[in-house]
Amino acid sequence: MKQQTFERLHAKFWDDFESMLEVYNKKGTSSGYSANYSHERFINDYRLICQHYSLSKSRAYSNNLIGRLHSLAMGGHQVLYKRDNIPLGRILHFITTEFPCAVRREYKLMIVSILLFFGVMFASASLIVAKPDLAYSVVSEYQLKGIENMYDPGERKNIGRKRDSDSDILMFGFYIRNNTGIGLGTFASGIIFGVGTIFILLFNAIFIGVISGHIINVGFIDTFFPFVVGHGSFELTAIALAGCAGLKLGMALLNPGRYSRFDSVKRSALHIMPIVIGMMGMFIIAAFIEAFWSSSTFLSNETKYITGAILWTFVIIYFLFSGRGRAHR
Amino acid sequence: MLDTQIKIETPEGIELGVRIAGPVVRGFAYFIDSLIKFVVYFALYFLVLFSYAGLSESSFNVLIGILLILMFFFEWFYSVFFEIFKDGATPGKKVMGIKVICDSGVPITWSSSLTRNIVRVVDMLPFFYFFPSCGVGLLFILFGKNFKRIGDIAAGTIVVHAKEKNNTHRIAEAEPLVPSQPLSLDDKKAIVMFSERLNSMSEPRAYELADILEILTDELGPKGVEKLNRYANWVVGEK
Repeated sequence: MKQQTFERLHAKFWDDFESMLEVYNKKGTSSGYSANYSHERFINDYRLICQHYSLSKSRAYSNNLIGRLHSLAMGGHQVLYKRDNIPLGRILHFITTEFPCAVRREYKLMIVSILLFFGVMFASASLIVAKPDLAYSVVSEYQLKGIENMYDPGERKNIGRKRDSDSDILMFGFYIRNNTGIGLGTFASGIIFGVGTIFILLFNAIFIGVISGHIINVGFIDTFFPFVVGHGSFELTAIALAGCAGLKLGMALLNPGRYSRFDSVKRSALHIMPIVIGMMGMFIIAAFIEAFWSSSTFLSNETKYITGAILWTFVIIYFLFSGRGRAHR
Repeated sequence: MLDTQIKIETPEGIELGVRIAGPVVRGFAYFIDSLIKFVVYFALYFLVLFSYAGLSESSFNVLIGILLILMFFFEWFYSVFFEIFKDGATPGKKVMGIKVICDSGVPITWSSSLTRNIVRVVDMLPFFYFFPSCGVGLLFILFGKNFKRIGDIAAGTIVVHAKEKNNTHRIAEAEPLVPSQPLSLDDKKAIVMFSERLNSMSEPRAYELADILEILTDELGPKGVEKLNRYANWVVGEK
């Protein structure tokens, strides 16, 4: 078949398809075809366009025609693979199943991350309790003094003071921006062969450990631990999750297995996205608890310890058991 | 074909070609986005400045708290928002006519958009906030494959030109003429392409090109061009 015959036969069909694409793209995300189009018609037409495109190439029609059919095929391809936005059911499924399952799937790296973070944290805290002077060689005297002041039962100026709800909101914003940012950075820097993640994990573990140990040494236990126990459940776990996700990226680069290094990183990044998204959610919950609950002064320490225990149990049970047996939907 | 075009094979058995956007056009897009962010921050700065005088301390605290939350989302998810809801293009990219797609050719997904924009922190190293576009990401774009920064590699995305440049000129009408000797498919295609591009080149250039085919047309200069045009009409024509 010569080119002009081919063009004459199908010109109307191509024009229709083109105007459908225009309407579709103008409507943006709402999946609206023009009036006389349906999903069924689109699929059939798209296949036909693809066929015409290959035909025009194998028959060596002119580049202009091939170019036009290529544009139509490309446009159709973009429409066909457009994803729908996330419905509510999907979000619930994510919370109850997808997130905890994704974490359990990476249990090995999760254990490594927990050891690196919680292990080093407890180790450095114990070390400081055993040798109090060491604290000053890790954290500067000035910083330690500042932290002592924050938790000094006699002063109770900053953290323990009776705050109004307005400064709670201020701190809520601050915690979200600061802590979640650190979490995301921990994950992202895993792509530097995991070194970035390990560095941030260890840095924070040692810092938190030394501070806790120092607080125990100076005897401000009753102001410090009731404050951190509640939101710590979500926040510290979220840091370990960020560490796990970052380590996964690093491992994908170091040990790509049967894939190329690029493909391996790409695959693992998509795999651990649920962990990263869930981690952000946990940081936001932690910021909420830290701003509105941990800092309140009218709650007794017993109440805070008990809720802290409940929150920790909840987090542990959630990651151990939630979504078991429902992973594949 | 240009070497910035890559081929993507689809399940329908066809190959789609996309043109990858280079560092310069992406740099401009990034600059425009940075400008937008700068303007927003500048506006927020003045909002804070004026409200400090006007508001009581407690409402001022509430305002700052809300602003900090907004800033967090703005810093991390500005690009994600536009890439998901505005067809793969932030305002800067839209202006420059480029967009992000997955390297399988399908529109960008939630997880790839999140990945490429979170990993942006690493692309910015070691300058962080000062010269964000000049970090290691730029080195990867310049020396890596398909102009990918680290975030693009991790997410499996590419930045491509959104619009294809299609030549819409049709060949000049002329009386069809059968060539004096049989032509291969490639020869025919070359002649039709020549004819299609006639009105975008100067006359001397057209003569120069047509003269190469003197062996086929037995003519030089304008007559050679005219003869080639008639061949082209025969190749595409209905007779």
